[in-house]
Amino acid sequence: MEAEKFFNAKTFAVIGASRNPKKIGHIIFKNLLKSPHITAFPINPKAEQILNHNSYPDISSTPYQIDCAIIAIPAEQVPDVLYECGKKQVKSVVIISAGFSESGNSELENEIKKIAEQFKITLLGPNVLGFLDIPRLINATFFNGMPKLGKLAFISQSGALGVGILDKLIQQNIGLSSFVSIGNSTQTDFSDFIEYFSKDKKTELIALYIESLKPGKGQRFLEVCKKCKKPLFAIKSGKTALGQKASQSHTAALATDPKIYSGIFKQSGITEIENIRELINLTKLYKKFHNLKRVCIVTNAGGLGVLTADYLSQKNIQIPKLPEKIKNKLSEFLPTGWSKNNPIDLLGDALAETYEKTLRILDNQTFFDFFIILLTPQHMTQPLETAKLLTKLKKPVIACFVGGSQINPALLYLKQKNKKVSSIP
Amino acid sequence: MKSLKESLEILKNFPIEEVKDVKSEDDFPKQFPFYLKADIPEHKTELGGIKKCHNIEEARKALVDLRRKFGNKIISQKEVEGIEMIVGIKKDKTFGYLLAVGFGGIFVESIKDISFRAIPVTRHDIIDMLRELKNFPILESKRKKLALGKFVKLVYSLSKLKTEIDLNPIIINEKEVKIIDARIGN
Repeated sequence: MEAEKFFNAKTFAVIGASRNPKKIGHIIFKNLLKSPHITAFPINPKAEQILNHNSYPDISSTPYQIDCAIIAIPAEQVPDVLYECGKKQVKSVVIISAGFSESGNSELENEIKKIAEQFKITLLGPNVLGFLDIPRLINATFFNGMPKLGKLAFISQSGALGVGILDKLIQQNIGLSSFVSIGNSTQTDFSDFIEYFSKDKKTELIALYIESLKPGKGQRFLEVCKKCKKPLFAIKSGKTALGQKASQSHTAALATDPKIYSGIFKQSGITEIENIRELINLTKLYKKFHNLKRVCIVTNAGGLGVLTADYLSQKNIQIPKLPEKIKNKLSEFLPTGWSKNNPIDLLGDALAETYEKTLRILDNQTFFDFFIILLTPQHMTQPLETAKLLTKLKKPVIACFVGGSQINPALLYLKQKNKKVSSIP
Repeated sequence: MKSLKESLEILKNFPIEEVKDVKSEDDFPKQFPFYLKADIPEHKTELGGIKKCHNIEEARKALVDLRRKFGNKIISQKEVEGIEMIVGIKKDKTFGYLLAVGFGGIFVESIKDISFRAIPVTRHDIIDMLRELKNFPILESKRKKLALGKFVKLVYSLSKLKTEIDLNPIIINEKEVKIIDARIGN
């Protein structure tokens, strides 16, 4: 449980803190000062004071035990500074600085790895954005902002993309428990943080942004993910389907990165998702729907019903068959061409009234747990009237209205009037 | 890469479709059709190293052709009917050994219907791998009840071999599972 050290730290030092508000070291120090739960010290040999705090020339001159040091200085100076941190018995270090193995400088990275080993320092990085511990309002990154408190822990391999993701999550009002960018993961890796978050009481679900795992770290990753009882989601980037050309074996030729990772994700119980948008939707829906397994889909567009059913079956959501009794009841008033099964296709000319009669019958049934209501604005469709019905249902509803200006009033209505309905654009 | 005969020797405890040396036409199997193959480590099909023989004339001509192109190491193998699968094990710098299961045959690299797991795997993992295949419904077809249980068992035992292998095809039919061709790394 090495990763714990970052989330227990009470005293922080920013090595490379600067008076210049445009420097990364300045921003990180400023961010850390915002947490009332920790103490942060600036380290800078040239400054006396930074943001009204006394600056120390080096880490050994601080009079306190430092739990976590954040290093934001040029790469070539990092080994010396890390060594000083070791001498000072700093427990954990975040190396923000870039210029290591990612730019071909593997030797320098090996050097810091060895120093960390020698002094038993828990290391995050190098080449990272840092981490956010949101329950304690700690922002140990150079990202300017703080997401609201939530249940999602996000572990990102990319720092630059991490900034984009954080900004998007704030805009979408998605809460987080923690955020970590693991960069070159010379020491701590996905596995360490998954292990930590799987025990962290403030985290309920874990999302990963993976480019690729480091050599030799695959088996531990599988082990940790299999043990993790919380839902895990992963976005895998770099999906180019390049196999190993000129290889002697068929297996090697077919072993493309996306194929391997989607197998590994299934083996480790991770739900693979395509993009941040999908993650945002999943997070929004998770609270209400995470223990609901059986869906009844009602649509006015057959194709959309099929697409949705395909997607859901990939995600292990069951789409139970309609009981005969219900089929007969619905046949009494639906046009003869209706799908006669789940997904229930009411056909393109379905009025709000048709939806209403259907939903009223279904709402009292026990063969499913929640509704997905699909709608496209066809000639006779009444989007707003249909939206209004959904608020009256007893079962949880996901509304998915697909269209533009014609469905906007309905979406707006769903957003404003009722919290029971989750609408996905 | 080892030759087919060397590879099959390593797999001798697995269900292999027997191969016989062919020195002359006296060694031809009694029953047609059968295959004559050049025992070379490369992809045989692409180089024209496999000939299906329906009668004695075809077989004589094939033997002459193969000898001229590939030398004297020629083997014969009976035809086995069924669905052609591929099973492979590949070393991977991140995950150790990877197991691959998919639809095989000569079009394997065009069909690209294959799934991967990191070894060790459970039998349940192997069943999941099969279900993931796009063409899985072929294996499940009700018209022919294929020996899928035997296949899963075979793949499971193969997954214990810590070596790079490429078994293509492995044939599944209603009765049995047979390894037809194998290539094993050195």
